[in-house]
Amino acid sequence: MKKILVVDDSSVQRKMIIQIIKSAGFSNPTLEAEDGVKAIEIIGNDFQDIGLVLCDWNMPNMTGIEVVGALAKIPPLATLPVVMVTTEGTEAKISEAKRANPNLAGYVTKPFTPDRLKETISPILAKAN
Amino acid sequence: MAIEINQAFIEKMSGIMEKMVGDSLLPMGITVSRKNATEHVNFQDVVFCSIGITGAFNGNLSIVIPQKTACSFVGKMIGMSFEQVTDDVLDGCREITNMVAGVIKMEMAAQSVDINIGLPTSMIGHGLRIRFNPADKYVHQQYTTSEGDLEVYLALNEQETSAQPSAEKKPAVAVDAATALLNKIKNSKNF
Repeated sequence: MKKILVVDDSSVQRKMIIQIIKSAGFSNPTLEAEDGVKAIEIIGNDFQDIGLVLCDWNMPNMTGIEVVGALAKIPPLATLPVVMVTTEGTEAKISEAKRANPNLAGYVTKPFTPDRLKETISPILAKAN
Repeated sequence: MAIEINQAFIEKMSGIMEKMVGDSLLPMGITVSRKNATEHVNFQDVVFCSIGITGAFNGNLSIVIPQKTACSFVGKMIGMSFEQVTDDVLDGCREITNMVAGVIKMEMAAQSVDINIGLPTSMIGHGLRIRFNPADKYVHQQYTTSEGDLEVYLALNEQETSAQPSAEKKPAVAVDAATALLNKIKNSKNF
């Protein structure tokens, strides 16, 4: 079963997302990263076992847009499903994220309902699992 | 250019708490005003969170939550019970502030005003004080919830800045750094 990487500088937000994933019935192991640097390290070392990355935008050290942009440039990682989970909800920002990574699998704007997150990740995890 | 703080904006801010903690946020009083330089407000036993706003306008958003209320809010968010303010409680309050700032950004974008928001900071204390900048326009909102009251201060300097948001430039350099880091791992792992 593929792992889910949750990238957010807020530990509370990471816990909330993981709770929603579990309550939706997905028993995939979860990994956590508090910024983009840690996310890149985890993805680089563990990418074959990762089936989904949920990534915040605004984080210290390295932002989410920098992470998804970098992933898009590395062929084995360019198709890794990434969903942005962020307060950056303007059309301009959504377009910027899609330009940075044309394979972006989804975009969820905070605050979100559990159902909103579930409906975004369910088809991705169903495919990955 | 004057920023319009309309009812839709206030209602959207109220809706955030409902999504975050399943609680309704009832507006008690909303004022829009200028302050003079000698005005300030004092707070006792609160969690104070603030986030900077830059771009077409500068300013900041501050949210003031009594410590007991903050513990209840964050407890509801992650299904835990907090007797006192912990790092998780502060983190949760910063996240609430971040989301309110996100709504402000979207509302500004709807008015064709491009702003950036920073990373939220938080502090706790027994005698915190806000001193006002007379150049700023303040929106002060008080809300009540089943868990207690909270206050939101939005300070906006309506003097337009010549500096444009640097969001388009900065990532290009940093994406290169991230790509280099990934390539380094890739090469060491031979994938």
